[in-house]
Amino acid sequence: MADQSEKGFAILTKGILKQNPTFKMVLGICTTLAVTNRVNNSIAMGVGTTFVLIFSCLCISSLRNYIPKRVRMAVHTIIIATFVVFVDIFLKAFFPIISKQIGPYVALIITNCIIMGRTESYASVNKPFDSMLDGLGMGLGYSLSLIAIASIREPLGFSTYMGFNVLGDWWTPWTLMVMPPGAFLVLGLYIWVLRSIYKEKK
Amino acid sequence: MKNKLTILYIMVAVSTASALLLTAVNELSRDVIMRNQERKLKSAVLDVLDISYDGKNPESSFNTNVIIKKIGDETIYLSKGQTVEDKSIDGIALILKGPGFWGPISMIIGINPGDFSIKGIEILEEQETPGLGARIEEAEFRDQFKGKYFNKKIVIQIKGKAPGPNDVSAITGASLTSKSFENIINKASRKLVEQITELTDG
Repeated sequence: MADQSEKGFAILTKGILKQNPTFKMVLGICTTLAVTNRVNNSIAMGVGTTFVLIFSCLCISSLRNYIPKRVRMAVHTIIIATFVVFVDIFLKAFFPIISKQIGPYVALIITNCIIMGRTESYASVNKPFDSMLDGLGMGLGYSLSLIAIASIREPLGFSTYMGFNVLGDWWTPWTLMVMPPGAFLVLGLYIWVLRSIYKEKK
Repeated sequence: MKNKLTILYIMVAVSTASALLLTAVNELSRDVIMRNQERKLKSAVLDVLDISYDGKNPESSFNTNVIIKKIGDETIYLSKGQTVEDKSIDGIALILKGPGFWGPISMIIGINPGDFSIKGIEILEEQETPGLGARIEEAEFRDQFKGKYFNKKIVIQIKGKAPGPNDVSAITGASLTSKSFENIINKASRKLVEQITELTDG
């Protein structure tokens, strides 16, 4: 039993640091660059993607023995798209304000490489429960990366954090930070720093 | 041959399941989404006409204070005078639509019938860059239009330039969205001012 929970914990946490999808594997970069100029948008995007990841992994893993190898990508895409549309409709009906803010990006979750990557490399060859944990871990890793990037971009670019003014009037908003080049800069810095630290440990 | 048929069956089964699930979700949430949209429109009309309402039930205030009228294919909303005898109109709200930088922008604008001064602007729909162009939704930008004249050309200036009497400041980093916004208002102004004058005189 101890072994079991230890293994589960390892599956869960590898997505957060060791195999962080954004900083280590550099997957799902399109949405990472797009939504991280605001912390709030990053959180909403992270939650949506995590939800889709968990349920797609669970579903695909449960069906893994019935999906013919030749059409697995098509089947995976249908399953992922189903959950994404579900999230989109759910937000529209019950959280219209959030839906309005990140609406265009919700549909983009379908093309997020993290989801395709995990369903293909993990969920299609592992047990449902493990796959779900893997999805949750990767989703958390992705969400935390988004928040980490937004935590630098939003204060520097808008002088706010989660919409609250934190830097005051003396700070001249650094507009570059909220434009795409700012995202590349901050993402690059994070990858550099995290990889250097990880290398030393080895 | 048998293999190919299995693939076909599985694809059909997965697609059907997905379609059924999403149809059900869509069917169940359609009324809620429609109500959200209608409520949003009605609240926006009341906001730009400066009519107070209960946030949870904008319908009742809308039904007692607003008359819906058509000019050609345009829908306009008129706010009734304060008393029953008073047949005057003390506010006109129009829906303006046009292309933004990324997608269509639609907004609702409230105007005083006498001098065409603007009472307020609310955004109904936009797909501009979150954090940049999407800031047209922020009150800081929209409130600049209050007191400007709808029947004269409105110019959206780069921040910091000496503003003329009918000028407002653009959003930093979103010059193209600001330009589109300006075009939508001025185009509608050229088209509608005459018709409104006829309507309020007659």
